[in-house]
Amino acid sequence: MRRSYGSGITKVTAVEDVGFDVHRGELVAVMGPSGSGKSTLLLVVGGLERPDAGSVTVAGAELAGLSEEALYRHRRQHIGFVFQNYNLIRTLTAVENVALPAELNGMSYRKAVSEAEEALRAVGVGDLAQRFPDQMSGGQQQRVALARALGGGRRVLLADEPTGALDSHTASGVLDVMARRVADGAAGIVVTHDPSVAARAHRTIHLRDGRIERIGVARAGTVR
Amino acid sequence: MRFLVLASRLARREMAAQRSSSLLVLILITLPVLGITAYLTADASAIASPESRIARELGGADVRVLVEAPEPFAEGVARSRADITTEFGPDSQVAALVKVSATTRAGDREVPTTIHLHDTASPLTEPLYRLLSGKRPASADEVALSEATARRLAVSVGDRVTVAGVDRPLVVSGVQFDPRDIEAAFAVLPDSGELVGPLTAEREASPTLSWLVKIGPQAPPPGTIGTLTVVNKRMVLLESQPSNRSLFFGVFLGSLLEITLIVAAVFATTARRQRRFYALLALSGAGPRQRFGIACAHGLVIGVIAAAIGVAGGVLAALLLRGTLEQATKTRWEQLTVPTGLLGQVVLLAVAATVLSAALVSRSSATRNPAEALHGRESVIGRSRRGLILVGGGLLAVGVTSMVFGLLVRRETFAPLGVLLGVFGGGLLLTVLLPRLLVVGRGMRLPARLAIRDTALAPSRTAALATAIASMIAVATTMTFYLTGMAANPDYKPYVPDAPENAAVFTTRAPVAPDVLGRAAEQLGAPGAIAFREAALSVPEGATPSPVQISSAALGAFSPLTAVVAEDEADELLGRPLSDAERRAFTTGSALALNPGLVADGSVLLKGSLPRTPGNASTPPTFTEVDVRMPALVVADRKFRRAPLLLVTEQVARAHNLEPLSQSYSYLFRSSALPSEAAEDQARATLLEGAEGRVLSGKLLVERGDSRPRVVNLINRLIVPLLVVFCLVIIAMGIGLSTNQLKDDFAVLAAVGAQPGIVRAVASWQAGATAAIGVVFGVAIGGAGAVAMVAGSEARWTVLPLGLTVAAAAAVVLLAAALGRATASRRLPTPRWT
Repeated sequence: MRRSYGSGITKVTAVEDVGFDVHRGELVAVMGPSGSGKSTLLLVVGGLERPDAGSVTVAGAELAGLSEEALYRHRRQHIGFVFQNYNLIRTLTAVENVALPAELNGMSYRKAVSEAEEALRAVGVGDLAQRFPDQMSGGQQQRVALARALGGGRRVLLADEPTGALDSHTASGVLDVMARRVADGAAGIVVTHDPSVAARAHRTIHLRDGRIERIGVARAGTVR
Repeated sequence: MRFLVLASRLARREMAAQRSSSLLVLILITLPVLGITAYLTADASAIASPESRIARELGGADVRVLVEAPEPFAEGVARSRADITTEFGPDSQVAALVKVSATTRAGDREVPTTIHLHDTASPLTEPLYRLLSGKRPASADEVALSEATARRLAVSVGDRVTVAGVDRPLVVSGVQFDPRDIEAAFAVLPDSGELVGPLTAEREASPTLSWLVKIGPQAPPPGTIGTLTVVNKRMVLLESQPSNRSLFFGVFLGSLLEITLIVAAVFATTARRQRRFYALLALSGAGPRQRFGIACAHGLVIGVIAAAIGVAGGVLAALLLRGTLEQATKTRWEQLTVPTGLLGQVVLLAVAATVLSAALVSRSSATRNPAEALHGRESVIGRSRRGLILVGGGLLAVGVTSMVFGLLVRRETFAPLGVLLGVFGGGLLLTVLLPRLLVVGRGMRLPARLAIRDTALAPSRTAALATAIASMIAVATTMTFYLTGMAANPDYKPYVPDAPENAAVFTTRAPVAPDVLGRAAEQLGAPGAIAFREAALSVPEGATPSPVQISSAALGAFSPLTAVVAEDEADELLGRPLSDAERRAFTTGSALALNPGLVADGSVLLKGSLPRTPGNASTPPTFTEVDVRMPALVVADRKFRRAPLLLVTEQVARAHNLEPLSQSYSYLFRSSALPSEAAEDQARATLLEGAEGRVLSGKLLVERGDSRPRVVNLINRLIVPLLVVFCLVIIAMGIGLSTNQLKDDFAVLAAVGAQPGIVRAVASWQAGATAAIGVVFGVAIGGAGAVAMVAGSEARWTVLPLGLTVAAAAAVVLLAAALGRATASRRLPTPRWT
């Protein structure tokens, strides 16, 4: 697929001629220098941007063929995002942040919160359910973000530098959670500069100037 | 100094980075500064210079001497001239100024005109008026008209006009104007002596005589001028003080106070960014005081720029609107006067307001631990706000106490102060109370929960916005409650007419023939004319009696119709026999008050000025104010409601140093229905024609209802909706800025699959919640203030429009929600990944 911004002499092609598959239970790392198109790739795969050419199929749905409404619904049901700066909504408690997609799907508050509490326990922060993001550490916030991304049976995880703001110990814990969820059947794409994160992926796609430079396969045994 | 340079540079950069909020603050501060500058410049320009005022009043003379109109007038002028010459010495120059009323005509047009008769060739009179075109009248068949007269008669220089009382047509030699009143209809005729007689013989002429005197070197020493009333230069200056400036300055201060809150709210919308900015400064080694200084510099820079634009714009506006303003104020500016001292104060106030707004919000951001901000641990949860509780609670307590005190001592003036303090104290307390909203909203719909939580987590912004709204709603509520409440109150004082409702009073210096009175009564639809005499303060022999006034804290002073009547005349004036209690009170020394509002503590306080003590060339006359407290009984009769008439017997009047106006004959006509204006004019003409003596008050004071409903309607229909519109604009502005600050949260919502409509739903809830807080708070404080005011004004009962208030409050909240929804973005932003 291809995605460009601007027009005429200001036209910048962020991603061009990029194609790959990610399967269930597989974690793919995307690496590359700044401006290589990593973030654009995630936006397009997440359905937040539409490609200029080519197609993107996520969880069985060709995104270009979906209406806006269907695209929102598809994202709610199948795709979870994790950001470097956590991006929890500061006015919602941890459990409410996690329950957010379910609520948006029409689930009752009580049921959504109940499920979210379970998801929080699964990532090891069940005791922080009623805290607001400002009352948690970075690692705790990132675990909550992971619970939100993969709660509600979502099977596609898109993460942008998920451990970029964390110390190595906390980062390791977050990666463990991600690895477990992928091992449980999720498909993940993680954008990272960190070779140690990439090392835990099944494959690594190297981007340069919007194109795939090479695809590396991690040694056997990933995801760990 | 170096720090100031650094601080202002940082502030300018921050302004550039926060373009939209900075622009908003600039506009908010600029507008009132521009308005007050334009007003002050126009006001200063409209006020003539002292030299000009002296020239208009005294011409080329040293003093103007006012004398009693002699009778007969024409012959008396020569006598008066001799007196003046005797008083000021034979080497003094003297010019007579005769002023009479007469009708000037040209073709089928006619204008009631004030005719000035004086020696137009005298250097003493030359500076009195300014020529627009032509020349001053020099011969007996010439006249100079004021521009208003010329316009209304549609004549110009060279045309002919006639003046009632002058038996020949007059050629318009010039058009003049009085800069103090360009709409004055006057005409200037050269005084050859022959015109005084015919002109002053007219029944409505009411001639006055004064003298311009240029005192010669051999003038007698001051203090020997006898009983003449002398207007000297100092008095001219004293009498020409500017008027409404304090009112406009008050409005400016009020709006600035309001804008301080709004600007604080605007600053608060960027609080998160500010915290990070100050944290980074701290990392660079800036101490808490320096960071606070930079926060103040931010306000200072915006304030200075805004004030400078406002002042420049205001002066320009005054200049551009000069013609319109001159027309509106009926004056002509001699030059554009920029009141630099006052504008300096305006600039200082505006800058202070901006610095205060910035400091209010940035104080905590700038002085707190930077590590918290940089680590994102900057929650308001659990933060101690003891200082705010103490200050806010204290202000609120003082405000409430002020209202209660006003209520107890029956003084309505305490309530507005209470409202002001209550609003600001309550506003500070809101910043403490709002974070508690975090615990509510569990289980609420997502947009409502997001909006309420954001309201709670941004207490400074919400409190400032809500307080700005509350203050306007409080003012609107107080005005509406007070005026609506008082409108239904027969004791209502502020709009008391000068005579009973549907009553006309005609006063002359000689009795009017019964058949004339009968005709006039018939024309007015009145059963007849009731003769009475008005009371005045007793004065020494020969001096002018001074009319009495009622003194009221709420109203200032006004003159009630105070009738000195016998017992049976009181029956006639009332239109019914006195009750036993009334008759007893009346005959044993009390006044009968037809309006309960005139009576406090069982008596009426009349005020009056004793006659002026004659002054001389260097000392202006003095006035002595006296109070006369007389017991009064309220005549409880709805027929006379709001009529300020006081009835006193001659004995009661004399006992309180009052006496009937000598040579004054008053007739009261009371019709059951309001006569038409045409009937009124007809009756007036009948009376003027038939009255034998000089008419003292030819105006028929037919009270056409009173102005209360109009005033209440104006306030309720115009000012209150205006305040509501301002509220809505504030809400839209604040919500617009705050949703902008929520961009990150909306991006997250986009990422988790929320539909774009959620932005508008959140904005709608946010606007509604902020408006609801402000409205509830404002109605509570404003309502309490109105109740205190109404009770403090000694009203007997109050009607509070509670149903209307609830409906209006709900409407404001719903409108705010709709506005928030309408102004919010229809799209969700794309997430920023890092």
